Amino acid sequence: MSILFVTKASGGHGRPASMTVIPPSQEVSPAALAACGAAAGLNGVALADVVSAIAMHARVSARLARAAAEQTSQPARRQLHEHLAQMYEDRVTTLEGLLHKLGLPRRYVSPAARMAAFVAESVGQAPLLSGSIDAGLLEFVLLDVASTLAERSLADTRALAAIAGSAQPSSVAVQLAKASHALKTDVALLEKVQARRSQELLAVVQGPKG
Amino acid sequence: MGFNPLAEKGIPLELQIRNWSELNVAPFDKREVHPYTRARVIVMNGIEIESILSSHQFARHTDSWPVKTTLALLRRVDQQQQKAVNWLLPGDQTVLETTLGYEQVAIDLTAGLARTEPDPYLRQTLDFGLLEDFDHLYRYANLIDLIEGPKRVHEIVGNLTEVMPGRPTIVEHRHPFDDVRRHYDRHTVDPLSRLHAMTIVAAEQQTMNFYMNVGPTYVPPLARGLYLEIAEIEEQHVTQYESLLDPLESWFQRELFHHYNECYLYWSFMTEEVDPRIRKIWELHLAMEIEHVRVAGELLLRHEGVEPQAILPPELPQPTRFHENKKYIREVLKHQIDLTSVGPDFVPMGALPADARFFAYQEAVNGGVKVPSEYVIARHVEVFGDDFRLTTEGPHPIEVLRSGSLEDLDAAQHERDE
Repeated sequence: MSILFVTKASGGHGRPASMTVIPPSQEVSPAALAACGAAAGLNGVALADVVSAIAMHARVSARLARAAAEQTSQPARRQLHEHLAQMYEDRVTTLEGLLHKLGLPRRYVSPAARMAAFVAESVGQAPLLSGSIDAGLLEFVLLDVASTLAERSLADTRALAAIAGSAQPSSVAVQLAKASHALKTDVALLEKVQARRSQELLAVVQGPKG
Repeated sequence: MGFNPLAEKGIPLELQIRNWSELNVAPFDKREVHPYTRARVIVMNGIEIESILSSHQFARHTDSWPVKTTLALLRRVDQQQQKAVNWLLPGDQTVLETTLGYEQVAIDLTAGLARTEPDPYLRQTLDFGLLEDFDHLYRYANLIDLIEGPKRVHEIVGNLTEVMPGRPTIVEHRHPFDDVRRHYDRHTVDPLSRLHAMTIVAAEQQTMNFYMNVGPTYVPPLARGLYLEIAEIEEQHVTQYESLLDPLESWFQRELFHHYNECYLYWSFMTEEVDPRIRKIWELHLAMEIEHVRVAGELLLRHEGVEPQAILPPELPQPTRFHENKKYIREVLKHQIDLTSVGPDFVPMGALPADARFFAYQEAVNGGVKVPSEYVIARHVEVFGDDFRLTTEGPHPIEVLRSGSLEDLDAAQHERDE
């Protein structure tokens, strides 16, 4: 099972930014970051930032999919959220593997990854307003959250493919291509979530008139 | 094996509500109580209040019925815990005596946290605040001598905490930008650092609230002025310490961490409490908080898909204890008394440029007026011939901050001779 919440105990590493403090023993050195992209002609710091952020988005999305599976009262919907959770866990495994191949800690949480966590978790806060809606709409909100997270995941998949395509021939390029290929296999499920959302909206609008 | 609240069975939540009689506990005797028992009572009052206020803030950000009602129930029990704890303070303990207790907490709690803090920046931040609270005790000690008469200080702090100048309060007034600090990152923070940060925020927050409310209850302008001035520093300290918390931590995570910290401190204090009656309260509240951790963990799992085990350590860290920190404080005084801050960084005051905002702020609050924290010492010298100090480890480590007492003059001569 993937680690979906990175902590010091689970191997969390980071890079200090203007307002963050990282314990010295868990700081990833600028040299290590720079080196990870050098062979492919890429900016290593930025590459590590992006991969770490994509991994973080997948972690938060997996957690929220689990929570949605717990909260939904519809068995079919639960199955969808459970499939998403598993898919996101697989993405985490793939991306942590990529970080490792790049010579970085698997659980490197870059400044961009912190921001990715914040964005995804903010989306996941939507059910906190469940008292403002009825039970039917809450089901839709859970799907809405999943769809929003899927949108970012699709964008991440495209971004990694573009980065892999731009890498100069090297072992790094090979690893990027492998990871990109693995992420692309999720596209069908991610698009299915988005399609489901559109169908449900359409059904509501075309349904009995109030 | 250490203690893991997640593996323990607490008191079921529905059985935790107590009646008025149970909550209206008999206060301790202020003449008999161990100073560190009083300190533990003050700390746990602050911890409960912080948890309660955080829960209220959380509740204002959700209209989910199951979340709001669960928070309301947990919060009501925390409120009852706060009453059972704070009502241990006796009615014949004056506001100034309680204030000395608050400052003893601020000193020995902060020093104790700093000494065990794993992160260098957080430790530096604690040391920085320590010297300021250390000075506050000295100012209030001189005030109580003037207002309530002699011997009050020793009755409260015992011989456990020295009373002498720290970083002078007059220079603690910084521009608000210079009290903001960096924060830990939830993905790399040592669990003990998080507990330390939460604990010191709670302690300073209640001190700020206390001074801003009791200050105007005094008649003498000097007392009103000193409370006012130090209350402003407590605002600075709350700004400083709250900065250490990672804002990425969600409402559900914070709720869990608050109850976990309550467990940690009740457990810590239970093991060292010398008053058997009060130890029983710590034990009871620990059993309640174990259940609160479980309930908060369920909320986290249901709403964020995070198992509490994933974000909590497998066992509680080494306990936080109250003990003497005299030598440690003297060392910090010796090496850090001249520090101030520029933004989140600590720098020697002498390194500030003439146009630093520090000086502009100093001029705005101190310029052309009697500064209460200085005036209280001047008044004490006027009335008693010297300032009040309580030292057990020799003269002040900083020569210019030594008093005019014979002991200090002899020490200074001795140093010169050497």
